[in-house]
Amino acid sequence: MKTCRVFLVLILCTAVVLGGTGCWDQTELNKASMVTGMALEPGDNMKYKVTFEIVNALETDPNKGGKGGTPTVIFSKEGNSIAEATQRINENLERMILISHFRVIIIDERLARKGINQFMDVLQRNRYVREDVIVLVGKGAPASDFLKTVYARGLYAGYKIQTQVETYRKVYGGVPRSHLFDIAQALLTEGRGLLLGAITISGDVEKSESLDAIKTISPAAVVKMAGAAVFRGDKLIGYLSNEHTRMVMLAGDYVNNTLFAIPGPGGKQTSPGGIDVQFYHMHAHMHVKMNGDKPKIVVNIQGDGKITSIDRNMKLTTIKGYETIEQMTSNYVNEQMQETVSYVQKKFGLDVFGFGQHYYRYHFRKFKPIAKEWNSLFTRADVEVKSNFTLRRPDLKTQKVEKEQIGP
Amino acid sequence: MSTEEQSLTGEQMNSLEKVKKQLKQVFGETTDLAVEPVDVGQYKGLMCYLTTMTNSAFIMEHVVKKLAMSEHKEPISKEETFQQLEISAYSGLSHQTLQNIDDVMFKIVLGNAAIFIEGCAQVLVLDVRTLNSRSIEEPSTQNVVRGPKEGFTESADTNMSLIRRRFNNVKLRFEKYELGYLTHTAVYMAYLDGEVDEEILKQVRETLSSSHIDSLFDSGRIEEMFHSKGKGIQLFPTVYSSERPDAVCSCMINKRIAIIVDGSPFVLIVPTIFPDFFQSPEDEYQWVVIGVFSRWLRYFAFVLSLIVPALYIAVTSYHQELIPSVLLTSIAAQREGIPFPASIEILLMEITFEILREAGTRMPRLVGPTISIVGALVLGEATVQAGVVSNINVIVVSLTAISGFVAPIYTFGSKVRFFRFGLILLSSLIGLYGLVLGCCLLMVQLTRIESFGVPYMSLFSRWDKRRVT
Amino acid sequence: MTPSKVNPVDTFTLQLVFLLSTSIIFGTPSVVPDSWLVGLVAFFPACLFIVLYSAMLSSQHDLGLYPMLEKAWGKIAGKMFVLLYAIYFLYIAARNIRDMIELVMSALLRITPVPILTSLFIMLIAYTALGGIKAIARFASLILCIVLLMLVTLAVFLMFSSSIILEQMLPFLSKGMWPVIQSAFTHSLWFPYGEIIVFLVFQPELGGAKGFRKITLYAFISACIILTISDLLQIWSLGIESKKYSVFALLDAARLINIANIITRMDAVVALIIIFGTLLKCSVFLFACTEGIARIFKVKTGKLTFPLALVAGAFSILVTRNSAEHVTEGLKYVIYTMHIPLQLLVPLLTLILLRIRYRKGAAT
Repeated sequence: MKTCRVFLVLILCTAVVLGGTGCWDQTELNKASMVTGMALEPGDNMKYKVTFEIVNALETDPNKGGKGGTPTVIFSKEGNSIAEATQRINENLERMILISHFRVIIIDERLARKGINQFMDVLQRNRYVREDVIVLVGKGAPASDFLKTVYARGLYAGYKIQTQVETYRKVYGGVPRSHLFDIAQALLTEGRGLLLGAITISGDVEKSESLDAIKTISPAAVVKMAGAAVFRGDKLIGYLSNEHTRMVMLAGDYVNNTLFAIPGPGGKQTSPGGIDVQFYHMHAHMHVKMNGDKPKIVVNIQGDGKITSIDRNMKLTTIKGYETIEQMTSNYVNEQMQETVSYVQKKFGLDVFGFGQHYYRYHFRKFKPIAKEWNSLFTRADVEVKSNFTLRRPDLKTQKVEKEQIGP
Repeated sequence: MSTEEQSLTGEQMNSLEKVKKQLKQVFGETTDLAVEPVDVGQYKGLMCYLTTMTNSAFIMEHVVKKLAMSEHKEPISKEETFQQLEISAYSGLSHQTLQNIDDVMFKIVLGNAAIFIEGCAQVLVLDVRTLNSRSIEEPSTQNVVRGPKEGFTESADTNMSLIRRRFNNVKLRFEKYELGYLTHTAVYMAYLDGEVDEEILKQVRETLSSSHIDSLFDSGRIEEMFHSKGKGIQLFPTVYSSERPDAVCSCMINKRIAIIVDGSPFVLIVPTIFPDFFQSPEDEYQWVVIGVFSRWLRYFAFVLSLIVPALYIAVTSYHQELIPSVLLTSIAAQREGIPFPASIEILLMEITFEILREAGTRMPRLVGPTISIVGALVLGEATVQAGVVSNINVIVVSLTAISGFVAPIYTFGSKVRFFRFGLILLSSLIGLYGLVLGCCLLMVQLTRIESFGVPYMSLFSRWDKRRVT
Repeated sequence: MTPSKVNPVDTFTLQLVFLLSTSIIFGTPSVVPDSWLVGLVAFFPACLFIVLYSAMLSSQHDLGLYPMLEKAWGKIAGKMFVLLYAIYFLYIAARNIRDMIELVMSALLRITPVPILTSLFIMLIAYTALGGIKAIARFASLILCIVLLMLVTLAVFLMFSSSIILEQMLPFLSKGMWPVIQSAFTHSLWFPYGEIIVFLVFQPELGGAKGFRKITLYAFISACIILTISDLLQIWSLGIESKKYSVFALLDAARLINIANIITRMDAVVALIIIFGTLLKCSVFLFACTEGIARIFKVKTGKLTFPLALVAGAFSILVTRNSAEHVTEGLKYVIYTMHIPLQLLVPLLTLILLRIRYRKGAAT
C-alpha cells in the first residue's frame, strides 16, 4: 500500500510537470545553430553592427559530405547594444543561435579606438561566452571581412583563426595571449597596458566569400597575424609588429618556444653567415626597483635550446663553439629587447611589459604612491637585459657541411 | 582444557550416550548428520555419517550389510569384534582406527562414517565418501573463465553436498524448514556456526518460519519475501542469489547465511550489501590487480548504464556549452534532419532495445540468429540510413546496453536498468539538474536501505561491524 | 557486533560535508583581497565553539540540544527556545536552498520556473531526512568522496590548462591584516563553523561529548584546509582583482579550464558539488527541525518531514526578491540577529544555567 501511494505521488508529479509547459530550457540541436565567430563593428545607422559566423552543421560533417554548400553563413545585425543586436539576429535567421561555442571575437579598429570597455561587460557577464574566447583586433579591414574568408580545409573562419593564433603563439610567440579573461585581468590590475592580438587580411575578400575561392592553390584572401594592438586604458593607440610583440611577450614570460635568427657578421639583418637558434624552454624573470625617481628594471632571460642552422664555418665539436654561439645569441636577444623597450617607451609611453604589475605585486607599499604616474616613470626607466642561454645539442651535424681545403 | 581433552579420549569414551552428546555438541542441529544405532556383533553400536557426503545406497550396500553379516555365535570380546570388523568386514574399504574423538569428528566431516562400539575406546572410521550420481553442470548465468565450473542443481541435497564438500569444517550447519502449505518445499538455511551474527540468524529464522505462502517453486519467491521485509521502498535488490557453490561458500566465510530451496538452482545469500553485486567469484582467483581493476570497471559500467542516455539528452538539448566544440559540430551534423527531439529519439531506441532483449531471452534457441540479424541490421543500420535516428544515438544506446550487462549478477542488472528510464525522463524535462537530482535520489536510496539491519551501502566501515538495529 | 552508534568516520564525513557544502562557493567573502586567509583566521576562534558545545554536552551526560534547553530553561521557556531553534534551522535550510537555486539558475538553467526546481529539491531533501541521521551520515560519506574527487579534478585540470598562476595571489595583505580579521569574525566564524550547533541535536546518536570534541575538531581542521585550498585555487586562477567581481568564484575558476579544447567548461562540475552539498546540509537542518517540532507538538517525526520541507521550499522563494537582497540579508542581518544569538549567546547562557542548576542539585 505504501509503495503504491509513493508511486502515485511520483506519477502525479510527473503529470503535473508534463502538464505544465515542460521542457523549458530545451534547445534541440537540430533547431539551433552554432556560432563560431563574432565580429563587432560600428554600425551605419545604429551604435554597433554585430556579425555572426553561423555553422551549417550538415556541411561540416566529413562522413555525410554535405551538399557542397558553404560550411558557414554570415549574418549581420545592427543594434544599439551588442545584446540587442544578438537577440535580433533572428530577424534574418530561422534558428536559435548557440553562442556558447564561438572561438573568436574580432573587434573593428574603429570601435577599438573609441574604447572597448563600453561593450565588454555583456561578454564577461554572459555565462555562455567562454572565458578563453580569443579577442582580436582587425587591423586595416572591417571586422566582418575576417569572417568572410573561406578556407580550403573546409573549416570555418572562426576556428581557423583561433587555431592559427594559438599555433603561432606556441611556435613563435609573436602574438599576445588575448583571451577574454586576459582583458579583464589587464584592465583590472595595476601597471600593465592591455595588449590584444591583431590580425590583418591580405588578398581579395570579395572573391574569398565564394566557395570557388578554395578550389585554387593560393587562397584568394588570407588572414594574417599582425602582432599586437596596444591599448591605453581601453582605447586602441597603435600596433606592435610581430617581432616587437614577441620580445614583449618574452619579457613577461609568455613565450616558451621560439627561434632567433642571428644575422651574420656585417651588422645588418641581411648579411650572410647567419645562425639560427631554436629554444624550447624559455623563462624570463623581471626585477623592478626604484632608483630615486627612476625605475631600474632587470630582465633575466633563460633558455634551453638547440642549434638549427649555421651558415658559416664554426666547429660544434668544441665547447668553445657552443660558448661563442651562446654569447652571440645572448647579445642579439639583449639588443632586440633593448630596442623593443626603447621603441615602446618612445612610441607609446605605456608599460605593456607588465613591469609595473610586477612592482605592484611584489612591492605593493612602494608602488601605491606612484601608481598614477607609473607610465611616465616607465618612459624614463633603465632597462637592463641579462640573458643566459644554454644550447644543448647540434642536431645531426657537427659543423656546416663544407669541403675541407686540401693542400696549401 | 587438557583435562577435557583427556576425558574425550581413551577409556573414558565408552558410553554411546556420551558419544551422542558429543556429536550434538560439535555438529549442532545440522540436518545432514545421521546418527543411527546399529548392532555390532553382540554389542550395541552407533554409526554416524553426513548424508550430504555420501548416499544411502552406498551405506546400505557397503556398511550396513557387512555389519549384519558379521554376527558371531559364540561370545567374543569387544576388541575381538572390532578386529573382526576391521579385517574381514571392511577390508575392501579404506578404513582407520582412531581413538581421539576430535579426529573422528574431522573424519566425519571429510565424508567418513564412524562406527562406535559401546564401551570400546577405539572407533572404526570408514571412507564412504561418494560422488553424487547427479550431473552437475556449468552455471548458466554466472560464468567464469578461471575457477570452478560447478553449478548448483535443482536438488537441494546435491546443493548441500556441494557446499559441504567445500567446507571441511564441523561448524557448518544446515537447518531445515518446510515452506508452502501445499507444496511442503524443503528450505535449508546454511551457515557457519559462531561466525554469523546471532541477531541476523534470528531474523532469518523468524522470516522463514513465519512465512505464509501456499507454494514455493523457486528461491525467487523467498528473495521477494526477504526483500519486502525491509522498510520503505527498496529500489535495489537486497538479496544476492548465486548459482555458484564457490561464490556461496566465500560469502558464508564472510559471515553470511545461505538459503537453499529445493527445486531451485539459485541459492540466496543474506544479508547482502551493494558491493556484493559487483563481486565476481573470479576476482579472487586472479592476480589482485586484475580483480580490483575489473571490479572498478564494473562500477564504472554500472554508472555508465545508468546515466549515459540521460547525460546525452541533458548536454545535447540543454547544456550545449558543456560539449567540446568539435564534438558538438559533429553531433549537430548528425542530428541535422532527424525528425525527433533527442529525448524521444533515445526513448525510442531504448525501448526497442528492451524489446529485443526480451525477445532474445524468451525465444527458442534456434530463432536466435534471426533476431540478432533483425536487431543489428534492420534496426541499427536501417534506422540510421533512413535518417530516423542519428548515429550518435545508436552509439549511446548500445553503449548503455552493453554496460547494463556487465554486473555479474543478472538480476541486479535487470532491475537497475529500469532506473535509467526515470533518469531519461528527468533529464529531458529539466536537463542536468534533473539528472543530478535523480542520481541523488538513487544515492540516498542506496544509503537508506538496509538488509537485515545491515546498511546496504556504507563506504567507511566493514559490513559486519556496522549493523544498526 | 552490538547495535552501535553512527560510525565515527561517517560522523566525521557528515560534519565535513556539512561544513564544506555551500561555503565552498558562498563561504569566504570576496571583498577582502586575501580571502583565503579569512578561513584560516576564523578557524581558531571557531574551535571555541567546540569547547562551548562539548562543555554543554558533557555537563548533561550527552543529552541532545532540545532536552538540554528544556532542562535549563524550564518547561515553557525551554519549549520556546526549542521552537526558536527549529525555526532557525528551517530558515537556514531555506536559505541554502535559495543559494543552490541561485547557482543553478545562473549556471545551468535560465527559463525553468524556480518553484519547479525547488519543489523537486525539497522532495528529495524530505526523502533524505526521513532516513534518519544514520542514513544521512552514510549518504554523506558517499557525497564526500564525490565532492573531493571533483575538487581534485578541478585543481588538476586547472593546473593542466596552465591557469594556475601563483603570482596572482600577490600583493599579499595589501590592505593589512585588519579587514581579514574583521571579516573572519563577522562572517566566516558564524558560517560555516557556527552552524555546527545543529549537530548538538543528534549528538546522543553521534557519539556524545567525547566524540563530538574529537570528531568535530578533525572536521573543522579538514574543512579549514579544504576551504583554504579551494580559495587559493580561485585566487591563483582568477587573480585577486577578478575574484572580487564574480558572484560564484569557484564557478568562474572552473570556466577557465581548457585542456586542448577538449576538456572545457567544467562549471557544471561545480554546480554538481553545490547541489550534492546543499542536499545534505538541508536534510540535516530539516531533520533537526522536525525533531524539534515533533518534540514540542508531540507528533511523530516522520509525519512532519514533508510539510516542513514544503515550508522551507516556500520560504526559500518568498524570503527575498533578488539575489542582492538575499546576499545582504545573509551577510548582514542574519549574522547579527540569528547566528550570533543562537550560536553563541543562547548556548552560553544555557551552559551557565545548567552549571548553576547542576551545582544546586548536587548540593541539595
